[in-house]
Amino acid sequence: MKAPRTAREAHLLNCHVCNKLCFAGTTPQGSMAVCPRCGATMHLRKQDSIARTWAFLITSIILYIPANVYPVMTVTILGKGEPDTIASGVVALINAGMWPLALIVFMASIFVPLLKMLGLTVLLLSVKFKWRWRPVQRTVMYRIIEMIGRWSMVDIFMISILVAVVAFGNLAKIHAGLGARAFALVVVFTIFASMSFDPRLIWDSLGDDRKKG
Amino acid sequence: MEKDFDRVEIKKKSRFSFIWVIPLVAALIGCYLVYDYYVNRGLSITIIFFSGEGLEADKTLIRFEGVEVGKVTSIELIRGKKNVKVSATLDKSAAYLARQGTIFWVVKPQLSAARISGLETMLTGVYIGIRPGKEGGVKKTDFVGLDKPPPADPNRPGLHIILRSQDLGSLQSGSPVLYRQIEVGQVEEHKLAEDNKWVDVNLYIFEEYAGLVRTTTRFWNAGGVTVTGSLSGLKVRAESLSALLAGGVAFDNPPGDYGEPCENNAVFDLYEDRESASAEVVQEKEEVLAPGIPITIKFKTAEGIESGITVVKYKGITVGKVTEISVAEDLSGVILSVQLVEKAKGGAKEGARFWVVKPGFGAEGLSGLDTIISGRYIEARPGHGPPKSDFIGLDKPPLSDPDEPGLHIVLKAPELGSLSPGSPVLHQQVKVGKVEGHEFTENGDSVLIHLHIFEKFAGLVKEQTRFWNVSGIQVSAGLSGIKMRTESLAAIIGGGVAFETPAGGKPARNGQVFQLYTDYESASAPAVETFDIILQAERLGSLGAGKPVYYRSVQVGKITGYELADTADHVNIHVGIEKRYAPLICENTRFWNVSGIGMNFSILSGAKVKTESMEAILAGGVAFATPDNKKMGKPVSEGAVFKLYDEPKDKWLKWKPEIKLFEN
Repeated sequence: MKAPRTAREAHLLNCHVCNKLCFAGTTPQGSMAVCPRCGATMHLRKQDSIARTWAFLITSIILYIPANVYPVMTVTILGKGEPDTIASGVVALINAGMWPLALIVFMASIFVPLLKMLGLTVLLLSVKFKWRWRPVQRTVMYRIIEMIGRWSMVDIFMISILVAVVAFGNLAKIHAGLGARAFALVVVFTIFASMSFDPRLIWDSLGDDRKKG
Repeated sequence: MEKDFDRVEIKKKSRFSFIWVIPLVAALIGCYLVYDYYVNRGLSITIIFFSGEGLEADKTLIRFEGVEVGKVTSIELIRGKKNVKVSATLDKSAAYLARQGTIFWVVKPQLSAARISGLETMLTGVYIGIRPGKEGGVKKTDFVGLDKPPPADPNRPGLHIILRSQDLGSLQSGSPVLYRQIEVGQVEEHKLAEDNKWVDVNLYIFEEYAGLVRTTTRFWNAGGVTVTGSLSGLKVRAESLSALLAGGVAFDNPPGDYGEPCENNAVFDLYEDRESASAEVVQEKEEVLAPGIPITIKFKTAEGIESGITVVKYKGITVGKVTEISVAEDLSGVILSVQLVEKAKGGAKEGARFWVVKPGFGAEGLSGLDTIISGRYIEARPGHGPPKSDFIGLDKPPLSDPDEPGLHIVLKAPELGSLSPGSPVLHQQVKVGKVEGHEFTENGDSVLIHLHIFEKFAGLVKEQTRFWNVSGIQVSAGLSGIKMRTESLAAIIGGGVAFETPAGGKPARNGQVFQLYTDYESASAPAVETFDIILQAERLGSLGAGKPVYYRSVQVGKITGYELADTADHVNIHVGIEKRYAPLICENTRFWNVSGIGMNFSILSGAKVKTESMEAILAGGVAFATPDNKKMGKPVSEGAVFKLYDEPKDKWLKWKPEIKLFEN
């Protein structure tokens, strides 16, 4: 038996809470490992990582539909105004000549969520089918997804602030639509999904493969 | 290795994972949204508009009573037509509005005299208004829209009535309906009545005011300014400012006559103005319109008379109307067919008289001025004989109406002066009667003037009353100054008769004949009886009737007339000496002419001027002197004849007889 290359191969795991390193041994079916120091549940890998990530990912994909179909925001100036969906908002900004703002909204509201959902899907599939393709790049992708995912909330924050600030009755008012709620949930669930994913799974399949080989 | 690390503890774990609940919930929400969309997706309708101006796909809203109920989804042209087809969706909650009779129109900002409407659309863009058809109408999705707002909803609660008018005036949709100048309704629409003889104006009275309209209510056109002019001044009357600009309808109820509450779609007449809508006028009008008694009147000319318009009046009240004008068979005049109202039947009798009242510049200033505007009318005076239906019309108003209460007397005058029918009869410059007319005496040598003294003043005229003509301005110019005497201004222009009654005497009776004197002086002078003599002169000179006769520069009489002697070799001048001065004239009395300026110049005596008054010298006259008592001779009798000398002798001027005058 070769020297173990990973903690899992060495049957070692640390507590998520107090970071105590323990020896795992074998855990019988229907039982779970508990930290001997703080009593927290211990796992070799994130618990149900694949299933949870799938669940959150599917949820966010479902919600992404109403988020784009329903208007996120209605700007009414002097009684005149019409609801804007995310896409029409971007178009409106471009028409208004506000390119930088349009780019930010596009990145935060369309590109990033799509990228996240697509990326997570790829990662999940790669783990599922134990792809050995470019594990380093896949891990970097995960890191990027993890990092930029929360920035999608910029849109939601902007809407929240506008609704609160622009409240001049009939002169001008902004009203958040159903799409904004759905979009906020999309962002939240993609964050959950990326949190649930355990990037070590990418490397686990490589390890298995190596074992086989 | 195992010994280097603590071993994990083992615990039982629950088998069920809740994580899939989250996508499940999300999926349920998604399903619900899809379901919701399909259930509430609304109704697609199409509306055809004449113009798509201002409409925008996905932006233009459909509003019902100001609430958004739908949105335009697309606008397309109809091939081969100029119209546009607008597709729109109505919200599920408003889908019931799409039914038979529903009207769509484009709401645009409107600026009219009556109001500014749709102002909000200047900012928000146009929208499509909707007015649902009757409840229970058949479902429908294809509509033809209007390009302007439809008239008010006939189903709105409130009162909907129709006014019948000869013409529209300045009324327009939206013009206010005013009750005591409060807007209580609106003009909805107007259209020609079916027979094109009337304009039907639909009014909508707001629900809260519906009770104001009764079956007896009268409506009139309140548009514009009503200027009522009369000699006493101008009366300008306008309803509210908006009615002034945009026209309007006002109404009121006749006092004390509240009919039944009005029902929807009741028909009323629209009167031209407030006056013609007033109860009396309307009643009068209705009476005229009602069938009455037909009579015919023959006039020389039908000038100014129009059938259907010219009315017959009695004392200012309309009693009939000319219905037809035809030429008499023998071409001697025109025959007017007149319908008299039922009430006036009693007047259509033998002796009734009819004449045309037309504007004229007469005694009382302008008369019949109203006829300039209202047209001529026929004045009637009822008769008292047996009933009759064909009459001869008069060219001018008849002489006094013997039926009129008051005193009717006749003045006899050598000439008419400027008197004319209507000239006033004045007493203390108060009008107490009027000249009714005039005619010649039978032999034509003088004029008979018929006077009517009003009943109230009839007692002022007694048997001894003296009348004189006050026409014009009387200027008596003398060297002592100018005396102007006038009666009222109207009398100056139109002539007039004044009178004065000495105390006592019996009241005058109807038809009594009086003398009309030319002026006040001559009217009062006849109180003095005269002693008439005749002077014989070679020529008349500047003498004439009325010239004074002086004794010691005191006027004691005047020349009453003159004539050529039968033999034409001299002039007989008739002189009236006041009776009391009659003893001054004796057989040897000398008369001379004081007319003209007589001045004798001589180097020795200087200028010698006649000694009569300057007035007499300028105006002419006769003077006389009587010798001292011993030489005066016997008194003469009336009609004595004397010679008139051209100038006095010096000794005459020195005579100083003492003569006892008569007691006056």
